[in-house]
Amino acid sequence: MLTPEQIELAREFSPLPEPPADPTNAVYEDLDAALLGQALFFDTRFSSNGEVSCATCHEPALGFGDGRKLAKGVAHHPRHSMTLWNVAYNRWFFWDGRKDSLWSQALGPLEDAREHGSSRLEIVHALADAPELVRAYTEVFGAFPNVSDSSRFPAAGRPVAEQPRHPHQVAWDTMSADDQRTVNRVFTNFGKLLAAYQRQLVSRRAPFDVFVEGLADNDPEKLAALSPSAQRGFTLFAGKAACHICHDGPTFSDLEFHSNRVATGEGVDPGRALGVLQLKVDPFNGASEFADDGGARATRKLQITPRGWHIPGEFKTPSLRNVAVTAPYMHEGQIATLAEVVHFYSTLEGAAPPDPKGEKLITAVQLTDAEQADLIAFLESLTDESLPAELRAAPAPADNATR
Amino acid sequence: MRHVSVSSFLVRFGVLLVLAAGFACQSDVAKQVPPAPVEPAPAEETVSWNEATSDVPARKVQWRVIDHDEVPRNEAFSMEVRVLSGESPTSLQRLDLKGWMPDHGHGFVQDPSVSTLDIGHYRVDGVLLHMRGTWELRLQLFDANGLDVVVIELEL
Ligand code: HEC
Ligand code: HEC
Repeated sequence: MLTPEQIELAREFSPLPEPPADPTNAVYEDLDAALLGQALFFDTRFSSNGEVSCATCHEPALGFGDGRKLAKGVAHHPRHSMTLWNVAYNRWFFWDGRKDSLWSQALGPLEDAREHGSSRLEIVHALADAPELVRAYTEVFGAFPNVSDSSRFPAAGRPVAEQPRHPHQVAWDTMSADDQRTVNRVFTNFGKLLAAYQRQLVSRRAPFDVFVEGLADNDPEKLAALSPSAQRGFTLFAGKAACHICHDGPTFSDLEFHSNRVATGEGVDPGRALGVLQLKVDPFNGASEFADDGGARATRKLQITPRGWHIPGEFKTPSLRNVAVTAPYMHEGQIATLAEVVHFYSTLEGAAPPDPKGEKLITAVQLTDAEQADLIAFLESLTDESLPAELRAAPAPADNATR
Repeated sequence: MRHVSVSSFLVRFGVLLVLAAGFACQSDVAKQVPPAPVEPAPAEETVSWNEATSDVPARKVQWRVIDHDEVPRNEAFSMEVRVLSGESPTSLQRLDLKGWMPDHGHGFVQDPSVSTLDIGHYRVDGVLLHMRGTWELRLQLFDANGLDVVVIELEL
């Protein structure tokens, strides 16, 4: 049984409140926007080969991941697909935090040659060609711009960093600044719709949450939600194993970046060290003209974004809610099972050497076999996939037709 | 002159101790914060001040959190800092806030921004203590005599 101190500690991890607001996205909490975003999420028309949608790599039945070690869309990706469960609670997005809002994040995969492999002009044209989507868009944002003049709005195009001769960049350069802004506006709105959908993907009534409620009510039925083994696992998690120093609070993540010393493949992935720099120059960051609050909030957030001390190879602390259904694990999918993750932290077998300039947070926590089993039982008690089924698939076509 | 109830804060904020360390350093005093007020201090003087003794003779350093009831963990907050010599505000060339977690070997993940409200009166925004554990908030006070570092130790 938990001591009074451990009960106090458990309350720091539950309940998980509502997702935080995003004032940079005016339609973030709009249910019409979420429904349209849901349709876009499952729609393969916005990819270069017509086969890839967000759900290709964020499959609801696979914990909104893909079950693969490394992601594969139009081409192979060097990182593991992240779960979208509780994604709205993040402060930064991607493993390296190179995005500061959920809507801006969505613009990345659409134009990434390895993911959807599309371009913003193709996205806008594909939307314009789908009357049911244009109708729904108009209800959320007002009139959809006329992009039918192909001399002003080429079929494909986008800015391509450091490749002035890339056909997409060449086409983009032919456009007037006003027309570019028109396209960027629809493109960013596309991201805001996807964000409104993803905000709904909340998981916050796992057995552990029921148990913590039980601690307050003294309700034996609720207290039974967490097995004695999982209860011991919690005391290890927030005690001897000190997982909670990084996997902290009701999201089970401090939302920041660390190295847990998991070994990586060949080549150096700089992680957060590069992500910070990319975020600061991102034309769609929270300080941009496309932030619906005029950029006020993010300007400060960006001014004070991390600098110097990030050593290469720091990644975002993942949330551990629903972790039992999102294997494999880590930014390269290096570890296949939860048992192996716990074994890794316990022994640091095969770990990367500590960086002398890095944080001093990871040591082998040396759990016995019984303790490892308890910790796994606790991690498994963080599963809640009770989201309504209609949010876990493409909306029924009727939903669009009636709009 | 308001008086500081240090003991209540010791309990409430888990302040372990307040260390002061003064040492001379002449570098880096050029980038003085312009004294233009940015946002006014809260009119209500309901929140009491914590005191931090500096090694500089007669210098008193006071601080308080202004937008939360207590120092929050992993949520950005703002604080006010007052520097007095005897009973009167004293002007500095500059004030900075750095953070450090001695047991973890790292500091802040974001730089707080400091603005001057009045002579010897500063507002620090964007202080983010992102992890639980022992934090040192290191106030760096620059004046003509050099650098005075005042360390506020917190247990989160
Ligand atoms: C090819 C597979 C693939 C496709 C398609 C894809 N993603 Fe991802 N997603 C990933 C990978 C891989 C990452 C991590 C990439 C990184 O860190 O660089 C990721 C990260 C994310 C994140 C960040 C989550 C977090 O916790 O920071 C979000 C949100 C997301 N994707 C949403 C989307 C949306 C919306 C779409 C459709 C527009 C989409 N993804 C399409 C593979 C994919
Ligand atoms: C120093 C901070 C830190 C500590 C302490 C820590 N973790 Fe992690 N954890 C991370 C980071 C960072 C990652 C992602 C690393 C990567 O992908 O390179 C991670 C990844 C994970 C994952 C994989 C999640 C996923 O979706 O891929 C699990 C599970 C996990 N940690 C569990 C634990 C457990 C259990 C403990 C305690 C034994 C623990 N962690 C201690 C920072 C930490």
